Amino acid sequence: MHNETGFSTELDAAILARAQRNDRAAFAAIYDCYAQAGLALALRILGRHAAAEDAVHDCFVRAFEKIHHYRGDAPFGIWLKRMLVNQCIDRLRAETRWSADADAIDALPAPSGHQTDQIEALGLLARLAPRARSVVWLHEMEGYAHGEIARLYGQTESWSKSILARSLERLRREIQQESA
Amino acid sequence: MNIPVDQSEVLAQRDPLRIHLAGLPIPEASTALWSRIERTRQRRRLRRQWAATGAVAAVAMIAVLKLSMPDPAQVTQATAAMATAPASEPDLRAIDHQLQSAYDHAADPEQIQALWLAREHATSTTATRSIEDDRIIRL
Repeated sequence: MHNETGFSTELDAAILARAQRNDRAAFAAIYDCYAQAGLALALRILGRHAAAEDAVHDCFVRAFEKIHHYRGDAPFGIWLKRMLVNQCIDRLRAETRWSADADAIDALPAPSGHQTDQIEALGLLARLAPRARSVVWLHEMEGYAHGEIARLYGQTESWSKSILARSLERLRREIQQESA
Repeated sequence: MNIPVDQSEVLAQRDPLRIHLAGLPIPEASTALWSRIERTRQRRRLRRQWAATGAVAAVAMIAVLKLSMPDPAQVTQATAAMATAPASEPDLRAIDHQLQSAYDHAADPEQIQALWLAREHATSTTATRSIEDDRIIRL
């Protein structure tokens, strides 16, 4: 078994073949390979560790159920990552408390008892509203195009561009203030 | 002035914000999460197996019921015959049995209606016969 991890890691063809035959050890190997990257991605998008774990859980359960349908058109890591991103965005969209203002940039004040390590894991992203945070992460770090982000949220490309521009401006101002 | 694509990539790499985002701590994926995924997978697999077994059992049961159910044509003939002949206590019990069976097997409403008619006829003839029997006893 390889020790490389992350979505860009190529999955061993033998492991994939075994997983497609419901081999438990092969599923464990896939989890070892992609879980950490998955948790990091889900945490950046969802902002809460428990929600991120739920999304990763649902994503792996679904991926293992659908693994027979994986035909290798895209690398396995990319296939899994798209599934996870969809899972996370669905969760964000389901959180009705945010849907009232899709254009919000600023995060609400963190509730008391919010874990410090959670805020550290988000860095400056913690200062953005969930949708704005996910747009920044998907565009800047995951290479998603505005069209894809817009489709995920059921919005227009100009919505995605506007959210990104305003969020980046806000974050860069924060960085400047911190370094000054 | 346009910046060449590869140069803009280099500039983007030096962007303090990108450096900040790329340097965010990576959380550890726990073994507890893997155990949870495993449990869910096993639970769902069991549920699917039960559903598949249940479906096979249901199909088998429907097949058995279809075979054991009386033919509607035969029932209609039987009820017509009952309607012409005087009924007895055992006849009434047989009709009741058939009615119950028809309800249990969700038989056609027409078939059920025919059985009810037969039962009404049977009860009326039984009642007439018991009145006549009473008279004989009194005599």
